[in-house]
Amino acid sequence: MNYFTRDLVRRLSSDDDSVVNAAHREWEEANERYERHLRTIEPELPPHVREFNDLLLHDAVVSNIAREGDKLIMVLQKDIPPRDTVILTYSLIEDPVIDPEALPAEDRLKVMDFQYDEFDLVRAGENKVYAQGIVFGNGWEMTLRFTDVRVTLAQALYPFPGTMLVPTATSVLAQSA
Amino acid sequence: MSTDPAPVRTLPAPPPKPAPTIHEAERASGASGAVLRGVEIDFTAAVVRRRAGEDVVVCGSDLDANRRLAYKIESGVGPASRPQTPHRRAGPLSLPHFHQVTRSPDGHTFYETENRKTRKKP
Repeated sequence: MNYFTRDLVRRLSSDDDSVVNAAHREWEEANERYERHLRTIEPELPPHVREFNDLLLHDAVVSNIAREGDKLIMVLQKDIPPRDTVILTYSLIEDPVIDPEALPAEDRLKVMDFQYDEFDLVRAGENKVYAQGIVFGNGWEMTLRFTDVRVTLAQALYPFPGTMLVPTATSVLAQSA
Repeated sequence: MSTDPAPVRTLPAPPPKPAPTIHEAERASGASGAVLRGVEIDFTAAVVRRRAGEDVVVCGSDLDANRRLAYKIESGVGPASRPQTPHRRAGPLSLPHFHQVTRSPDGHTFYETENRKTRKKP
């Protein structure tokens, strides 16, 4: 992460109000710098990738991440209304890189949800390649490099809207990490 | 010429910031990520509302007080997350918040900052 660094995230959880307030201000500055960065690359992005970048995914609970060949499929339940099911299908150019300890142990959630991300346009020869780093609430940071991402929005029938499937044991997440 | 020392003037203490208030909250549907402020409630009602999976928001001009009270409300439900800071993925008008470490019950305790405020529920 270039903007929302681990050090910054760590300071947001400080017990010292002055440290937290300074970190909040830094975070807002990072938000502004990241917005400027996205505006710089936006003219080079196809409309569907711009729409992908506009999805409000914060706090969306991840119900599945799966692979099929060069495709990575992520299924999320949006938290921000309308609470659609979001299916992201990435066309990968390399295996995802997963760091299971991106968040301090004491800051991790018992559930895998989408916290924040950074998106970038990376040139590889004449082809456009996209890079995305995503930090999840369970402490994972997943880095993806891909040539395309497709978004499907659907209305959930099950789990019923407003409910959530919560793991019964935290060790399940720990083992998968 | 007087040899008396110059009188020391002390600045008056700044007036205390008003105490934060707690309100029912809802999130606006759409791309803004805005938090809509409803009727004012007390601490006990806020915890009850959070236990029911609904949102609440702490409003006021004292960021430290807002954050501490929001954390206290969320901790009244169960173990609270670290502060969740606004990000593009939460919408341009989003507010920082706490939620449950388990994400159950659903919902959030939002709090206002210097630059991020609620919208009044129509």
